[in-house]
Amino acid sequence: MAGRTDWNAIGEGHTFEAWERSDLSIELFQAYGEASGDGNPMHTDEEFAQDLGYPTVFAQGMLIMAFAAKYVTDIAGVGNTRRIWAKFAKQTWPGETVRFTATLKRKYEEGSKTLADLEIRGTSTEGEEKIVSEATVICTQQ
Amino acid sequence: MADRSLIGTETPPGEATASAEEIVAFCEAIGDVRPEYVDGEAAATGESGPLVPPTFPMRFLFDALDPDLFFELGLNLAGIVHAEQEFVYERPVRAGERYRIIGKVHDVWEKQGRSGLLDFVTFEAKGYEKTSDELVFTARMTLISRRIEE
Repeated sequence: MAGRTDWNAIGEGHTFEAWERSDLSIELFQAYGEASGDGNPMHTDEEFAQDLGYPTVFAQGMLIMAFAAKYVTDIAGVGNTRRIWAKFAKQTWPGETVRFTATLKRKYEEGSKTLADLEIRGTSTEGEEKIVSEATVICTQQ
Repeated sequence: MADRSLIGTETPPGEATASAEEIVAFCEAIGDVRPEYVDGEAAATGESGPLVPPTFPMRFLFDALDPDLFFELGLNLAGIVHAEQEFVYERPVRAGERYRIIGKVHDVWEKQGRSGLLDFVTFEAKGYEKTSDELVFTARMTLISRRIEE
């Protein structure tokens, strides 16, 4: 199940087409909290978040990582993500748009497979870095 | 303060399965409803069931964590932040497969932050397919907890 990438045609340093995710809302954070088994009210209960000192709820780090993982899956294809790691930088607020970009850092053979290491960043359209991520994917040709 | 002697402590083994309904709900929530995840027929390739999005197994890590461990580790529960997350797959996770989950405290350390001492804890969960005992995935979660000043 290959992604949209022609691995034979690209080399180290290649930057992939960006993808933007908008429509971030409290309702989305609530739906994600419910569907992912993450019950932390900091992300779903506005009063709770405000009691903790935040202006409102912010997205679960894992929701933003799920978007990054979708972006990687679009690049490499379903079932081809060998590893994904992420560091959560700044909070993502309702109404923000997160723009994901990825760079091919390394392409290499491992046994019978070709693998690629990607570096991914998710930054708000205002330029604030929300997530830094790395992925190792199996390169299956289209 | 976070107790380094708890590194290596394992939580009691649990069991986890990705159900098709949970996968669909997750995919709808994140807005990625491609057929390989949600359409049983499109997903069938002679193996057991639909594939899951790469961060879906986070719930297995939540399930594996023993709440008592948080207390034993001396973490300030009011100030915990999810700092990092990693998944490593030996092969893809599939709906319907049953995994034996072993959780453990992988590492504990501290760092001086701008506003005080920070405790870092990494929890790890490994998922082994039940019948073959094959390691399928490893998940690691790093939390930061702001140390309460005395």
